[in-house]
Amino acid sequence: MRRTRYHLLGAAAFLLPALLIFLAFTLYPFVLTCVQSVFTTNAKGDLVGFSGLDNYIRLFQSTIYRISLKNTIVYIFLTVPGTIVLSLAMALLTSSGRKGMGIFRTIFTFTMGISVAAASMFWTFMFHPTMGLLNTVLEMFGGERVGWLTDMDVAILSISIVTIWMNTGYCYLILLGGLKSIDKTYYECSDIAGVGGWQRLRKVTLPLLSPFLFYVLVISVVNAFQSFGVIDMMTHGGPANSTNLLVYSIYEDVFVNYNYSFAAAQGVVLFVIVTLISLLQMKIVERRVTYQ
Amino acid sequence: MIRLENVAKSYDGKTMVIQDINLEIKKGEFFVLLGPSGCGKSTLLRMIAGLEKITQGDLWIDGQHANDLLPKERNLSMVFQNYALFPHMTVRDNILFGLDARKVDRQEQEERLGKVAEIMGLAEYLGRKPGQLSGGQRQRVALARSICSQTPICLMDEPLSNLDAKLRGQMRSEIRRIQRMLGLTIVYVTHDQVEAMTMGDRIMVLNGGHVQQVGEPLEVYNNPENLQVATFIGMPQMNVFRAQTEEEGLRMNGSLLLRSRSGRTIRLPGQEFEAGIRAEHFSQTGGDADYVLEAEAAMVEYTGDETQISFADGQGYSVVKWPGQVPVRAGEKLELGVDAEHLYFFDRETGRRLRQGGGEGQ
Ligand SMILES: Nc1ncnc2c1ncn2[C@@H]1O[C@H](COP(=O)(O)OP(=O)(O)OP(=O)(O)O)[C@@H](O)[C@H]1O
Ligand SMILES: [Mg+2]
Repeated sequence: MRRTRYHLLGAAAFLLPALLIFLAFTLYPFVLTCVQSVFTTNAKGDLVGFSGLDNYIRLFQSTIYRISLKNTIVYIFLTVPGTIVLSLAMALLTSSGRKGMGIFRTIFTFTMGISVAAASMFWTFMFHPTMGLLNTVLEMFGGERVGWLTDMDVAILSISIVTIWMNTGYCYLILLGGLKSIDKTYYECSDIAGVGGWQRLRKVTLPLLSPFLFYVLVISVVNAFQSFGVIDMMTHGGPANSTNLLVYSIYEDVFVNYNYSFAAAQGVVLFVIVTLISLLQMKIVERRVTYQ
Repeated sequence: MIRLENVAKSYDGKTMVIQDINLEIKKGEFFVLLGPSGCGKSTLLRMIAGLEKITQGDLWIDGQHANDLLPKERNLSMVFQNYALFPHMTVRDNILFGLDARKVDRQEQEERLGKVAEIMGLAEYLGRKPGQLSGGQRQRVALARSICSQTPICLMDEPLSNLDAKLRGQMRSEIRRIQRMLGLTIVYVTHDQVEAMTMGDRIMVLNGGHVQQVGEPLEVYNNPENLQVATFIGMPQMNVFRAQTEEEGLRMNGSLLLRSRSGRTIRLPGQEFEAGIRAEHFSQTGGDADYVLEAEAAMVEYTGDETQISFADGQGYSVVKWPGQVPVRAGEKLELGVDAEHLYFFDRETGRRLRQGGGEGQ
């Protein structure tokens, strides 16, 4: 009895630092947000009065919020498949032990070392209506200029391109590592059986890579929900809210409109959405994942 | 069925991993590649499979020059040491793997599956994933996949090395039974001489990338062509002594005397060579044996059905093996008999087998 208590104390001592950090930086803000969301707040963020579900009701009546929800969904459907397909293709192309592949591996991963700010600068220039490389090339081939960041219908696509460009490096690295970890006798077995090309990709490579694909999928979805930097740097949610995503909308309500409790409600809803989607992924997608 | 002519392999273009392989494996033969770790067994097998390029020489499969054929064009199957079962597929899909690619129609696949599952006793496991099977069952699935492909040649690289001793014994006879039943040509790689002896129609002993000997198991056991083969095959290892001819017989390791009873002298070129005696070839009493060796038992071990006694031989310890439970105590003096036909002689430098009377068997 005394022994176990002693052990518990020892364990607690080791856990304490991590526990404190968790309490201070994760649990406390989370609880505070939940509390704020059912109050009204003044411009300094102090709780003024209990408001029940008012914030939530206002939220679902707000057009801007609905637009940002729709934008986020579009953004996810553009960036997640885009990132995964691109990084998978690059990983498949460079995973062979052929000479010279090392150069490509370096090229494909270098975006990991670039900050959001630098990337945004670079792409803002690329997207520039008159001097940008993209439009220059388009015009060279007789195309028309595109308002990459100024056209309401195109801006979300442009933002997605930048996001894919930034996230592909990391996903590529994960998938490349995954491909390398596949036992080569599986391939030899396929060679002897005459299973090659697409067949092999579908029946052997992808299933064996599935734990890595799953990880990349979860990470990409969560990242997409939390995307902020690129929007803040390049479009500020515009033009006309066409790139206003959930997190950016929260940011605006806190730091532009000083509407703390309204932002808190959005935060809570975002939390619920991300949690639900993650659970859904675990339940549905992970069933199709086989760990070696 | 499979013919190799002067085959050699080098991975780095400089050092040869295996060399001068000349070999013909017949249809329906169970052919074993035996040798210590790193001698090039897997390399040779993988060259036959087409998984490694052949650096030099020629490979013929079924009369066709096969050096440049793709693995799938060689019409063979392979069982890997780690089985290479796909963890995401059921046993059923694992067994049928590759049949679609070979354009075998669905009905035919079902028939083959049914038959193979019955032979291998896998019928009730077809819906499981490999992760839910025991080692022996996985081994069976790997074998079933190979059989299901109905290729005439099956290559196996140490397929039993992940199993425990008992299961290994079981699977040995099972593989042999199926091979006979289906008339398969099997090339089987192992470093386990018991597997080689019990399963093979013929054995090829490899060492350091060179062929040491090719022959039927008992032939190789009874007539090893050199010291390496002699010591590699047989448990416990053949006892080897530094021998010198003397008037009364043979001086072993400069200490023990193997006394000649008949007064016959050993006629060999040169006076010094290696002499080998298998543990089971020592008789329990001098009796009417051709040679007698006096020694003192150092340690006695009983396995139940056998007694192993070791004695100091002036260099290290040599071993005697007798059937049954022989009452011997450590320290006891032994008089061991050896018949002339059970004495092997080897050249000290080259390890080549020496035979008495100018090349004839003794
Ligand atoms: N891919 C490779 N590249 C370079 N050298 C290799 C390669 N594969 C094997 N070798 C070398 O070739 C020699 C023979 O290897 P091999 O795998 O054929 O041995 P083995 O007889 O199968 O041994 P084991 O019983 O341990 O499996 C070894 O010295 C090994 O180091
Ligand atoms: Mg090997």
